[in-house]
Amino acid sequence: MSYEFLQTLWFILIAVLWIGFHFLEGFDFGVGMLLPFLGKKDEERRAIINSIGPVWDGNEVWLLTAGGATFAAFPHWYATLFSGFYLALFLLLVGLILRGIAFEYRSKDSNPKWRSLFDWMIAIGSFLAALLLGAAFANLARGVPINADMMFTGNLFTLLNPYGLLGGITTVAIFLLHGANFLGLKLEGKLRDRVNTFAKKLWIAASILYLALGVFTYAAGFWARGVINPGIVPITAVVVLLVSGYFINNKMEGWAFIMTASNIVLTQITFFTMTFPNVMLSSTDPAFSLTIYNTSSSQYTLTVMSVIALIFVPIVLAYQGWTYYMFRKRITTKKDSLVY
Amino acid sequence: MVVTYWTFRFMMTIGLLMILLSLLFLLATRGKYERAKWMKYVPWVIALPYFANSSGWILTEMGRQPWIVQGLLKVEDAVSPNLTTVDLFISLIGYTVVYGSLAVAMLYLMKKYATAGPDAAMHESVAVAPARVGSQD
Repeated sequence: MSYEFLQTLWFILIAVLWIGFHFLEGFDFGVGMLLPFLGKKDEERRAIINSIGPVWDGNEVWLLTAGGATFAAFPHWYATLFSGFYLALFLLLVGLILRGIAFEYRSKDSNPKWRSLFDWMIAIGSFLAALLLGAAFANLARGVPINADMMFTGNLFTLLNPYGLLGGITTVAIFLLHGANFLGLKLEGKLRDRVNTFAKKLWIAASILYLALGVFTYAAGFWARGVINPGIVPITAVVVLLVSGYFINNKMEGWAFIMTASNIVLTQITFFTMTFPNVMLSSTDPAFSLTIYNTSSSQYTLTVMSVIALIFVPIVLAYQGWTYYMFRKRITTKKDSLVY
Repeated sequence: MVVTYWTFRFMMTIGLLMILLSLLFLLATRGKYERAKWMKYVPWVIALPYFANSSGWILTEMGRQPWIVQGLLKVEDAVSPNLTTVDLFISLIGYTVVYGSLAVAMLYLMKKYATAGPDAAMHESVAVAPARVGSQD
């Protein structure tokens, strides 16, 4: 296999990992953020957590794998990204730690204050992670200051520009809606009705923000600066998001979920196609941009990685799919069937 | 170096001690051990793996200096040049606060479950609602 082919292959594989991550962790971030607002009683909150209980950590592995694959396949990309976005990624990690710990600790004590504290940690951790991921991706689409030595020359405040913040808030809104649609599939009774009311409002907010982000991206010229024009993909992403509103209003939860899932997947595809073959655009000088060609590891490394991925990715996909299949049923708030 | 000299010996001694203790406890289960006087010292054994583990990591991290990859890359060459001292301070303080708080929560829970005893511990996590999993009665 040629070197260029392997570099492109690994760019696509990393894109697939990010797509999978946003699709899967998108709804569990959304569920996490909705938790304290949607669940009034302890049983309700436990039911909401149980909807993602068996799968959230598996979903998070997609993020780790994306980071790990970037490290191995494109070490210069990894170095510039992780050193450059140091504090933002530190905050992301704090959000993920708080969230992960809170899932485990919340039910270890029956004191309502203890449980409330950890429920809020789940919500805040999920919010922080979604906001930072969205802001990070928006900044990558916008371009960040990078010098001729592949060095990020900005700081945390460089990332807090209007476009970055809009990207962050939009991601939060989309994940909230995606989470609400997921909960619509997993809950029943009063909770299911309540989540449906939430979804209707969230759909309005998410649609407005998403359209604003799209217009901003186009107007500011962040569009298709690589070699491929994403073409109809982002338009389809807008359409499926708008269509999800129809399904939400008609209580067709399965279709509503498929629509927000498609929106997230298509958004990610847009991001990766509009930057390819760049991986980090330099706003200092386009010539300093990091591409798959000047950041990748050796041909030998990429070949070995390809063989390993070919063996293990199907295994991982199979057992993650099996988990979803095993826990496919709706969750009730009846005390005797609620597992803590 | 004195630290790596002792952390290695500490780790190895505790490791072998734990293997030995496991064998002794295994033999003890053949007799009546529940009411034995020495049982009240057993909980202290819980601390051993933590010491062994920490010693091992201190050994690794200090023993490999000045290399971050042995023979290939030195720590001073691997440092991100664009990181400021402030960045590192913020993250270090952040991690310390997060892990410190988690340690407090963990110690609270460990004490609570240890005081409650093995039977209560089975049910404690289900204090509000009885669970299907984990309860035998």
